[in-house]
Amino acid sequence: MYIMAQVDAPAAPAAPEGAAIQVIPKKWNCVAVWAWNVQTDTCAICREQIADLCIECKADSVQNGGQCQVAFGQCNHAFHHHCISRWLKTRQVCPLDQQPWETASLQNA
Amino acid sequence: ATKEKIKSTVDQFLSTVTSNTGPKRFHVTLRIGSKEFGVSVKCTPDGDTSVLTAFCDNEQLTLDHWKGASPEAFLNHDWVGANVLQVVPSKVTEEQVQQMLNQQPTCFVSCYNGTVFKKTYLDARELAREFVTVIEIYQPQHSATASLPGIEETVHAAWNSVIVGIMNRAWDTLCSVHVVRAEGGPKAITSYEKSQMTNAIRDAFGNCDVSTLARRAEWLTLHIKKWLGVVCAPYLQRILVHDDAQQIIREVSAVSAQLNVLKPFMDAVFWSMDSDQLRNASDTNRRPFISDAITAGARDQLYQPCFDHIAKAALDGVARCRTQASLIGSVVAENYFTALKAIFTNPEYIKHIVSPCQAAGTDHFSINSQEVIARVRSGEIPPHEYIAHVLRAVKVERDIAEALTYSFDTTLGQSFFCAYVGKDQSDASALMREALETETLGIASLFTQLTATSVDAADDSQRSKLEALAIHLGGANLPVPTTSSLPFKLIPSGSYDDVAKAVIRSAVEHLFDSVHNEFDTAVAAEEQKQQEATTGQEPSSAGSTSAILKNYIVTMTETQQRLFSIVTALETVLKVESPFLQLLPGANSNAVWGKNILLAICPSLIRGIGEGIASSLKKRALFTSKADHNAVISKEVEVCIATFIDFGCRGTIKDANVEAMMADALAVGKYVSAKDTLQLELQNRCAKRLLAKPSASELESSTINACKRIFGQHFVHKMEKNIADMENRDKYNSAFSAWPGNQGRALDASFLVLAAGQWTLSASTPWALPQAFQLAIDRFRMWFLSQREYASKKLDWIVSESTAE
Repeated sequence: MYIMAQVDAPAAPAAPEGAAIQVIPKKWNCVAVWAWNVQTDTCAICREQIADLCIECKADSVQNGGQCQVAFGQCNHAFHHHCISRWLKTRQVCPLDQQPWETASLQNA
Repeated sequence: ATKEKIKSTVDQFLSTVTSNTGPKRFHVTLRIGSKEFGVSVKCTPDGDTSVLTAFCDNEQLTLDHWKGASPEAFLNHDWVGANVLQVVPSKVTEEQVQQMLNQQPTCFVSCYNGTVFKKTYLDARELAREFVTVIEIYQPQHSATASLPGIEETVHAAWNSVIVGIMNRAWDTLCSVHVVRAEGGPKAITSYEKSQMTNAIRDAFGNCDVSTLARRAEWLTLHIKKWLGVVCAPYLQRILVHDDAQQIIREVSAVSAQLNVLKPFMDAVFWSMDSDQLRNASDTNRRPFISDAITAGARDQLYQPCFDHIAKAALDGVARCRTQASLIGSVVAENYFTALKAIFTNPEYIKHIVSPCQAAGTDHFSINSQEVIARVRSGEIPPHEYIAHVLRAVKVERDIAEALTYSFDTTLGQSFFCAYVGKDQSDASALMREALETETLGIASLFTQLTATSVDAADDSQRSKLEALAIHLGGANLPVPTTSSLPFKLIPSGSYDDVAKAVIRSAVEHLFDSVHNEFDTAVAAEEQKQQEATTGQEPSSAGSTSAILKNYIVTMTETQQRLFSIVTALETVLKVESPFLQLLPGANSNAVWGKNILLAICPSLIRGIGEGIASSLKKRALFTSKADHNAVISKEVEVCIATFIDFGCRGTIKDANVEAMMADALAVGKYVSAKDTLQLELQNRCAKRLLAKPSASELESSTINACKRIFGQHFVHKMEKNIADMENRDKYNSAFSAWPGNQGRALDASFLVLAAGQWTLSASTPWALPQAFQLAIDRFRMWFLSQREYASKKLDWIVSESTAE
């Protein structure tokens, strides 16, 4: 994308031959990607991407209807909700920092 | 001294009984070792005691036995060797019992009230005298405890010198009894003969450990078998000259009856010996049974040769039946089958008759089919003639078996069928497998003819082809009904399924390979055109690539659909009254038709077609992995399908039914082996289309739904996320526009926020954007992160994908 424009400048008359063309953008379609604001974007339990389905939902996606939430802990570690729920049945700590787990929020992926 | 003690003990017992019980009747049982000897005693008020009846081992002995027997015969029931005799009459006082016990050792006697008495009697004092006589004759150390020169020699010597003689005598007795058979059955062997046999066996088996006993018993068994060979030889010479099966059966039954009489007699003799060690042997499962030895010997020496003879004759009978026009009637009238009916009550006999048939039966197809196979191999007749030949022959055998089943015996029918078609059902299965596999090309030809046009059961020409296919596939599975409600199937369902699938898979592979070859030829021609266009000889026609691809995919999908339409048409044909119901004689034809043909053919056909397509695509994947990847069109089926879908969604393919065509193409994708490759190709192309044209078309949605139906939710997860991201675009922008912080903006900016990881995009390197652009980005980021639902997210900008007007 090559922009030679001064957005605030008024519309200029046609430039003489050989001079640079001045482009005045009227509309901009900008593309962004969002990601979870966490230290790592991979679930440490199932090793799938946080934004993707957990391994349980991938194996049985019809039953879960594709809904796989992300659980954020107070420690700012994130896991798939299914994965951390399964983990918490054995130990009530964050798998990464071993601190007592406390869910801060649940987000839809 | 012992003799005197016994005599005095018995005398004392009798006097004690008399004096203490008064005029009563007693049943006195004397037990020595395992033997029981009993007398019924009548005590009169004046002190006389009369023995009313006597028995040994529950076998009633009449007065004649007592009188007529020699001293040895009288008490050969193991009185011999009794060295501890005690008197325990239950009706005497405790003091008397104690007193008698103190006089030991004498005689073991139990006493109880008797209720039934015979009129015969014997003087008790005579009985006591007999006791003494026995002791005098048989000293305990006389026989069994004598040192043996060697185990084997002892057994052989004992057998040859004593047992053979005794058994021969027993046999002669049985034979004479049989010949002049008196009313009430054969006469029993005399007690003297019994005692001789008992003593001989005791010499061979007495006083040895369990393993020795078992070994000797095994030798005895062998001796008995050999002996039976000698005994049965003259009978066989007489029997085997007969051609009449009924006569043979009568002769065999006569000899068999004699042997059957011998069996319990021999067991009784054997077990009458001192059995302490035999009892010990019972836990080792090596307990010898002479009756078993006689049974085995009779089977080897008598039944087997006779039944072999009958079986050969029966085979001749079957061969005669095959040539008769009225097959079932000739089977029913056949002399040998009628004769066999006499011995159907014993399944063991049937087995012996059927076994020899198997050797001849297995040759029936292989030898008789040699000529047909040779003609097929030489090209004289088409391959399907072989299966037709086999099916005809199987039908004949099935009819014979069915006639036998209905007319004679179920087991015989089934056994004969297995015998003629093969040794067992697996052989039958292998036979039909060979036949069907020989017919692979024929079935492939039928498939080709049927798939050339749309398959319609109403079309007469196609209907005949469908019927031919049904006979080919279902003929192997025609059942032999039994007298029970459950049908007997020629090939087990699993095995039939394997056979059918293998044949159909091969045919389907052949069809799809043709489609792939046509595509390769078209691609090669296109490459040639492009080379010529490059050299300026001839311009390349636009859109030819998509046309070739479309033709390839459509041909594949149509072939697939036509193959499956065969199943539908076949079901239609099979469900109506069909002319090949005549293949199933019997009242329950419709039931077995439905159960064995309808339920077997169509599922196997569906599975075979599916496996054939998958197998062909797998072979294709192996081929394309080695092919030139610089070709104008990728030859990988997965890429071809994804490209075709891409063309369809982009509108490159102009066709009214493009949506259905794409769904069909995806249905073919169900059989590709590399589904992950197909998924990736579809995802990437979908993402590129959406970025190029943000508003998702209905075709995209319908394609995703088709994918979801075929491959499952997970397959389309990312594509659905992509669509959702595109749909959220307006939501983001309208919310952002309404945000107070966005007032007074200098640039009309719209934002497309995509989910990381769901698109094949990555954040671009930082750009030095003009102030107005950067301001717009900053404001949007500020708004985005201020929203509660997005608070846990972060944004990266992909300026390279942005556009401006």
